[in-house]
Amino acid sequence: MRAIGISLFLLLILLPGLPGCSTDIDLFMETDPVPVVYCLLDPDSTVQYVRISQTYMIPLNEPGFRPSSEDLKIKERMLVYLAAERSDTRQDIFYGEPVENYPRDSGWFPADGGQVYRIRCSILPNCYYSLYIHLLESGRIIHARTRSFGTGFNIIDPEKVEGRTVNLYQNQDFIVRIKPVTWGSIYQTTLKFNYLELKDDKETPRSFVWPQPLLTQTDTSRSFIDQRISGERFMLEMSRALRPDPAIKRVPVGFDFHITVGGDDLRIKVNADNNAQSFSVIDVNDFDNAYGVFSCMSHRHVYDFKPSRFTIDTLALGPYTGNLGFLTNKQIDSLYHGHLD
Amino acid sequence: MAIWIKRFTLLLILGLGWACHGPGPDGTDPDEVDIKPMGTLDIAFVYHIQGVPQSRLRKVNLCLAESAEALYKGIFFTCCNVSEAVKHYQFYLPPGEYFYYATLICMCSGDSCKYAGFPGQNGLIAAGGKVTVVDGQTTYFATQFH
Repeated sequence: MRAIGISLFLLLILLPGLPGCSTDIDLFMETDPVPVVYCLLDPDSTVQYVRISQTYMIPLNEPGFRPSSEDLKIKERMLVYLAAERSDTRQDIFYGEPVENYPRDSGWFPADGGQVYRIRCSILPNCYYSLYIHLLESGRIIHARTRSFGTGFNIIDPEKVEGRTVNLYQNQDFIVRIKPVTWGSIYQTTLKFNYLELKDDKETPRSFVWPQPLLTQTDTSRSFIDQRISGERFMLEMSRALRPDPAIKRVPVGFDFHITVGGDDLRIKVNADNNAQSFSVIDVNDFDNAYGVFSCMSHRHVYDFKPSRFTIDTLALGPYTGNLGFLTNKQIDSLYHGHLD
Repeated sequence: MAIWIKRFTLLLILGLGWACHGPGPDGTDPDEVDIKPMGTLDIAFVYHIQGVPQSRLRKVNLCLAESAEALYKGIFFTCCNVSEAVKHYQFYLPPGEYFYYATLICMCSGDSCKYAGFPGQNGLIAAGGKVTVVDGQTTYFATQFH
């Protein structure tokens, strides 16, 4: 009985004290920044680039916080090197050197943000490459591994043939054909349509750039990989991109194609980023001790494919682009060999 | 009584159903789809040119004209994008007679192209002919270069 009385007494003393112990838990604790590394090996180049930066905290009261170059910079010395695993017994090491004032596009991040390293190295086909970044003060080692393309990157279509023109209009699509690249599995074509704008006897070259959707293809036994560029969609996109102006006449000049292939690791990363069901893009990560991507990428540019007479007339008279001032074949002939109608 | 209500409901539903199949506001039957007769033309763009390696020959174009006169004048109603990777080209057309026009280019240097019947390096040879498209059928045709 006495014990119960003491317990009740203690409980009465402790209960008022409990709320005093509660403190707010800070869900947004400042943590150590994590390195972010971006390196896409280019088999067509003798120089490879590695971009290194780090994560930063966005203050809760500043959702539009823009990081400074200092926020993105890893403040310790580092050693960057690439190891080519030529065989089980041979590994070639290529060391990186920092690049000052590396030109980069404008955007959200500061132009001088991050660190860029240049590694002088030609990429061997079908070879494993390991990228190491050794942070010398903290002793941390960042590592990722990828495999280079096994075969060359060749374009079947478009092919430059004298007299061959591009038909791209309603019911007439253009198909880009690419030879499959071993260990390459993500492809993208960007179409660039060049035209002249004529205003007050002045010719101004203009372009309409139209990236096509990403194409994933891992089957390398196919004779080619094809990406269809819709003719109707081209006309529609042109009508959206260009503004009608009665004072402007337009002359089609030609099509350029920029075709890109990425390695398997890049495909996995890009598809994870594009997958709406993926909760976090950090789920897929190529690196140990960092976030980022380490893969291969190769580009091909093919230029100046003339539009067919049908394409020119459809641009001039078609339902989507008929009001944009494109000249017909007859008007273009008159313009350059006589007087404009 | 219940039976009469059921019969009335059935008649009402039937009547409504019938009304749904009536003519549209313009007097046409909305269920009737205007199906135009169409056929498929499948042209195999093939060539066997003697004296020139296949790797130095390229297709240039494949076009269709509505008449022999239009073919002669080079007035085509459609052309397709040709490729060395593709042999068959299909056109979906109303039934009738059409004229195809296919051209090849020779890219050999020297006189090789001339010996093979081309006008010279980067010279063209053409093939043309009449093809018939039949409603609901696929007409197969192969180009003939002479």
